[in-house]
Amino acid sequence: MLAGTAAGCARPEGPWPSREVRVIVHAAPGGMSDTVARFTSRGLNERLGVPVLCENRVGAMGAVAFSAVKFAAPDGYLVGYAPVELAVVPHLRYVDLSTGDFDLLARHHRAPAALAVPASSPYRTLRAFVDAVRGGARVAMGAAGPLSVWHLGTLALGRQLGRTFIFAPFPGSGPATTALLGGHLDAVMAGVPEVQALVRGGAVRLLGIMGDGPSPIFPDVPTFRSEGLDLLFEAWGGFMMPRGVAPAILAELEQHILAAFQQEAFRTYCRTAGLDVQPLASADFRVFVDQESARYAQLVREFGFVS
Amino acid sequence: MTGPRIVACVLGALALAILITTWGFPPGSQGVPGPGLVPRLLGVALLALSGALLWAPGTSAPALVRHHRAIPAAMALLVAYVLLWRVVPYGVLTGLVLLTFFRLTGLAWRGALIGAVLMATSLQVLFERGLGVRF
Amino acid sequence: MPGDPMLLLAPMLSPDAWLYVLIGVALGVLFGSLPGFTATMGLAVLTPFTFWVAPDQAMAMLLGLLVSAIFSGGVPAILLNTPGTPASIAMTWDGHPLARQGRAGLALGLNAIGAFLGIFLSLVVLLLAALPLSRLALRFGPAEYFAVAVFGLSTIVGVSGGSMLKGLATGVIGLLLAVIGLDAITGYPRFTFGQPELLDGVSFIPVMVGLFGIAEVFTQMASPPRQQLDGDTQTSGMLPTREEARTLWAHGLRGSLMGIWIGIMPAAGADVGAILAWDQSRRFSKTPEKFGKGSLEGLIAATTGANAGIGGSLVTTLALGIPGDSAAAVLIGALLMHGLQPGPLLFRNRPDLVATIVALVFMASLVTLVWGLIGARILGKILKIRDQYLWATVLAVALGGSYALNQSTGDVWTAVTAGIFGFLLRQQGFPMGPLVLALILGPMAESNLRRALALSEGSLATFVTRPISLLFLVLAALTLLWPLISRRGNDSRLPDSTIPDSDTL
Repeated sequence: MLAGTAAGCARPEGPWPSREVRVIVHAAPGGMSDTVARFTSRGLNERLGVPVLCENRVGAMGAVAFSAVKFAAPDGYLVGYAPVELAVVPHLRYVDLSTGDFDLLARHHRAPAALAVPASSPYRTLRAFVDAVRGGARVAMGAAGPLSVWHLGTLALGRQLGRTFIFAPFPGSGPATTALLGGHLDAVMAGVPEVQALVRGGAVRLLGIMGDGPSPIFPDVPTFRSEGLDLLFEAWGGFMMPRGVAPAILAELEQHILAAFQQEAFRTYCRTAGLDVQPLASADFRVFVDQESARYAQLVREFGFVS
Repeated sequence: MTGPRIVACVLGALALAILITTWGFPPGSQGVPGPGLVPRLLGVALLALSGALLWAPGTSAPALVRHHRAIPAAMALLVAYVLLWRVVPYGVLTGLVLLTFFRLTGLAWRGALIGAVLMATSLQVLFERGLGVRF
Repeated sequence: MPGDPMLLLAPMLSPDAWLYVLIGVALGVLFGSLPGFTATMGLAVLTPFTFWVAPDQAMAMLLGLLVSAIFSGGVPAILLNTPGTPASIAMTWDGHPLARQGRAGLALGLNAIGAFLGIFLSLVVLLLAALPLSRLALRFGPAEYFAVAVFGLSTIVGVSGGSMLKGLATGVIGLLLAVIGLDAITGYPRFTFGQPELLDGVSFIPVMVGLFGIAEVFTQMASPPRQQLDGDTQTSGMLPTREEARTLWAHGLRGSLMGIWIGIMPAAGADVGAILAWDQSRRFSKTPEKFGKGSLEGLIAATTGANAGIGGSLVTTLALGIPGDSAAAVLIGALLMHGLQPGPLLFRNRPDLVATIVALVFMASLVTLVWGLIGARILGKILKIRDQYLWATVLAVALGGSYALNQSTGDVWTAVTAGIFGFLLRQQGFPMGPLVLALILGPMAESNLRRALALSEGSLATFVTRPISLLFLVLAALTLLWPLISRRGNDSRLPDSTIPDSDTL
C-alpha cells in the first residue's frame, strides 16, 4: 500500500499494473451495484496483485460517476461501473455524455423489470391485470424515478395498453415497495432483485417480468412477451473504462473481470440477491449497450422528456 | 442603512429573480403541480418577508471585538485555499494556509510554524491513510 | 423469540464480538467527531472488510460504528458548536451554551448517558414490538409524510430565537436551497445554471459544516475571548446533581420515544428525530425559557432523540427488509452477502440473528457509554487549547471533510460559501437553525406533497380525509399558533447563543 502510493506520486510507469486501481460506482455503498463492484474488485485484486478500491460517486442518476470516469486519464488505473443508466442519462442532456466516451469491458448481470402487486391484490395474473387496465380500471402505479428504466417501462406499458396509469415516482425502488406494502399503491414496477425478498416472503406477488425469457429465479412468472406485449425493460451492470486505454490493458482486464465473476462467494451472493448473472465479453457488451442506448434515446423523445 | 435592511434588499432582489426564472418552468399535468409551483410560492413568501424586514429590521451586529480585521482576510484565505485545492499538493497547501491563518490571528512565527507543520502533516496522514481520502 | 435471554447473552460472552464492536466504535468515534465526515463514509471504508469476516463480525463492526458515530457527533457540537453529524445539530443549541458556562464535563456526560438511554429504550421497543410497529409505519404514505414534514417545519417557530421574522426568512432561504437540482417528480433541472455539480442539489453536509463550523470560527474571531476557566470546573461533575436529574428522566424518555418513532418511519432520519425531540421537550418543559441557553432538559432530549433512532430504524430494516437509509442499506447488504434475507421471515426463522443484532447494538452502546464518561474528562480539556489552533482545526477538517464526501471541489466551494454567508447573516441576527431544518425537511415536504397529489389525481382532500395526515397538520397548526395561545413559549431564544450575551438578538 505504501509502495503503491509512493509510485503513484512519482509516476514512473512500470509495466501495468504497478499501482492501485480505482473502481468508480454510481450508487451508494451497500446496495446491489456497489456489492457487485466490490466482489469484482476483490477478484481483480487477487488476480492483478495491486489494491483495487471502490469509490462511490452518487448523484444525478449516475451522471456524476460517468463524468468522473469520462474525464479520468485513460492510463488503465480507473475502471467505472456501467449500469443501465449509462444508456439513458446521456439522452437527457443534463451533462455532455455518450456511450462512445467509454471503452466497455464486460457485462455481469441482467435484472428484468417486474410488475409486483400486494398479496391481497385482486389481480392474480398478468392477464387479469392487463384486461382490467384495458377495461379502464383505475390503477395507481409507483416506481423509482423519474426517468428510471422502471418509470420508462411503466410508461411503455401504459402506451401499449392505450391507457395512462396514475403514477407517482419514488426516490428508489425501496420506498416504492414500502408504499405498495402500505396500500398506497396498487402496483409497483421494480427490478426482480429489489422485490425478490418480499416475493419469497409472500407479502408481494409477481405478475410478470419484462425480460426476453423467463427469469431463472422465478421461472413460473410469465413474461410480458408471452402475453403479446412487446416490452423489454431491464437493469444490467458491467464495467467500463475511459476511452483511449491501451488495447493490451483492455484485453487483459476483460479476461480478469470475466474470471472474477466466477468467484464462489460472488455467485452465492447473486443467487441470494436474485441477480441473473449473464456475462458478456467486451465486443458483445458494446453491441448490447449501443442497442439499448438507441432504444432509450427514442423512448425519452417519444415520452416528451426531451424535444 | 443598517445591516438587516441591506439583507432585506438582497433577499427582495433574490425573490424577484426567482419569480422571473420560474416563469419558464414547465406546467404540471394530471392535477400534479409542476416543478415551478413551490419555488414560486417561496419566492412570493421571501418577497413579503423582505418587505416586512425593511419595515422592522430589528437589531443588528454587535461591535466586533477581536480579530475583526482578520476576518475578511481569513475569508479571502479560504477562497484562495479552494482555488488552489487540487493544484498544489494537499499537505503543502494546507501547511501554507494554516501558517497564514495563524499569522493573521496573531500567533508568533514560532508557534505558527510549529502548529502549521504539525497540523498539516497529521491531517494529511489522517485523511489519506486513515480515512481513505484521495486528493 | 428474539427476546430469549439465552440468545441475547450469547454474543456478550464472546471476546471476539467485543473486539469487533470495539473496532467499529473506534472508527465511529473518528468519523462521527470530525465535522464533514459522516457515518456513511465510515461505512464505505468498512464495507470492504465485511467481505472477509463472518457475518456477525461484520455486523459487530457496522453496528459499533453506527452507534458511536452519532454519539461522537455530539462532542464537537458541545465543545465547538460544530455538529459532527447532522444528527447532532440539535445538541449545539443547549450543549454549547453549557460548555461556555464552564459545564462542558456535564454536557459531555449527559450526551453519553442520553445516548445510552436512547439506544437502550429503542432496543427494548425493537424486541417487544418490531412487527406491529413496522406495520404501523407502513400506513405512512406520501400524504402522511407531507404532513409530518409540515409539522417538523412548524417547529421553525421554536428555533427562530429572538426574531420570528428573521427566523422565517432563513427558513424560506433553506427551502429555496432545497429546491435546487433535479426535480424529484419530473426530473426537470431547477436553478442548476447548467452546472453538473448542482444537478443533485446543494449537498447538505457541506452546507451544515459551513453554517456551523466555518461561520462559527468567524463568529468566535469576532467575539470577546472565552472566559479562561480552570480545567476543574470544565471537566469535573459529569453527572447532574440529584436535584437537576429529577426532571431529566421525563425529558429523556420523551426524547427517546420521539427518536424511536422517527427512526421507524423509513423516510426520516436521526437529524429530524433530534430536532423534534428538542422542540417537544421545550413545549412540555416547566422552564422553556432556558432552552437554547444551556438547558439540561433540552440537551438530554436532543441526544436521546438522535440516538433512539438507531433502534427505531433497525425495526424497519429488519422487519421489512427495506433499507431506510444508507446505513441500513449497508447492513442489509452485509446480511445478503452471507445468504441472510431481512424481512418478517427473519424474525420467525432466525430469532437468534435478531437477538445477536440487538445484543451487538447494546454492547456497542455500553462501550460508547464507558468511552463517553472517561473521554469527557479528556475531551473537556480540548477547550484549553489556544483558540487559533482550535479554529484552524475546525476549518481544515470542515473543508477536508466536505471534499472527502464525493472527492469534489464543488462541495468545498459550497462549504466556504455557506460559511461566509452564514457568518454575515448571523451577524445581522438571522438564526441558522431554521435554515438547516428547512434544508432537511424541504425536499421531504415538497416531493411528498406532489407525490400525494399525483396519487389523488390533484385532489387536496387527500390531506384531510386521511386521519394520520390530518392529525399532524392540526398539530402543525397548533404549533404555529402556540405563541399566541401561550405566553410562556415566547421568550426562548435560539440558536445564536454563540454571540455572547449582548443586544444582538
